Amino acid sequence: MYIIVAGGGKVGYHLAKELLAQGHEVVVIEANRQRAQRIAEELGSVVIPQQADEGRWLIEAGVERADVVIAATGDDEDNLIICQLAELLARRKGRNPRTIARVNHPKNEHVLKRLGVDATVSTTSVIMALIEEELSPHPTVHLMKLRQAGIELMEFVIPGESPAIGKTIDTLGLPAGVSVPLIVRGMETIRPNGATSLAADDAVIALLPIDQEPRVRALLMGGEG
Amino acid sequence: MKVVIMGSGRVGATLANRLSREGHDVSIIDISTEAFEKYLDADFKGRTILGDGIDEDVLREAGIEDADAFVAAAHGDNHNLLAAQLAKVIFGVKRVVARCNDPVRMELYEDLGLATICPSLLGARALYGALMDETLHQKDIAGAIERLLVER
Repeated sequence: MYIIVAGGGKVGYHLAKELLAQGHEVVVIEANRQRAQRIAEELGSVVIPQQADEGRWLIEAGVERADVVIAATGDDEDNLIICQLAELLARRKGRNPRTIARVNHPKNEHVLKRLGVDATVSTTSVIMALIEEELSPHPTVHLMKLRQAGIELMEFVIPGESPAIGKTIDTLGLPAGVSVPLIVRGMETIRPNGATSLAADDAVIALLPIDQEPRVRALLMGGEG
Repeated sequence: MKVVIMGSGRVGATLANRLSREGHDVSIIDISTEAFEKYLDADFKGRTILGDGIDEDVLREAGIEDADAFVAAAHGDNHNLLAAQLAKVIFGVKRVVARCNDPVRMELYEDLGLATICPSLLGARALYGALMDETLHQKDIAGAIERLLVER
């Protein structure tokens, strides 16, 4: 893939290094001369030593043919504008790159998504989620949100007291639009059909409309919907 | 009109002073109290809110939820563009204007439907106008200064 990384601080630098190692084509935009030079020396000539929030440098970086644009600066507002500019500039050429923004203030995650950023990554939220998963015996995990389609991929681990135990996928009463492509039972992965029944500790991977999350959670985990 | 302004620098505060004098209900946000003291009139009747205008809670405190208008007049373009979009998209404010110094960025956001003002373009246009305006250059400044010195 062709990937633009805006911001070559610690996050941007390590990200670019990993992506290059995976065989992707990567360009980093970093205005700080010293940082830009260091990246050029260590990773090769993949740096544009300019402001990433200026359209012309995004164009020079090849935003019109990029598959992914990652805004990884330390400022949430800069990351938003970089993603929006990338989107607007690419759209002129009929392209639609996936935009990803680093978010420093967790409060800004929903704001940036609402304003058109495809995905946000908040270090604070990631660490919080890890802590919650460690603390909860039967976690639900948000695997991925597909914002434009209004659906998300989630993992539900069925607790021992769940009303879903013994029921089949068809008899659960899942709302319309919900599908269960995969169940992980111990070391076994099951591609379920309507007749597959659920057991305690099953990890149910479900694709569901975002607004149906409470309902699906109640059906699979028990408790209030 | 109930107006919320972000940024109490020369531009934001001058606008706030004027709107307040005209009887509008003004709330002005800045990250420093110094900015309020420096640029707001002594008899400014509006409210001052200390905080960052890209924080939804600060905007709420400033009364964004029932505001008729929002002006993003801080220094950073990206700051202004984020705050303006918050006001428009999240809080549904009808009239929103953002200050944006970079003409290229301004054009892109105008295309999105955001009203923007570009001080650098306006300044260049005004300077051009003054440069080309023949009547402005007929005055004898040297003579005027000489007379001033003689009178003293």
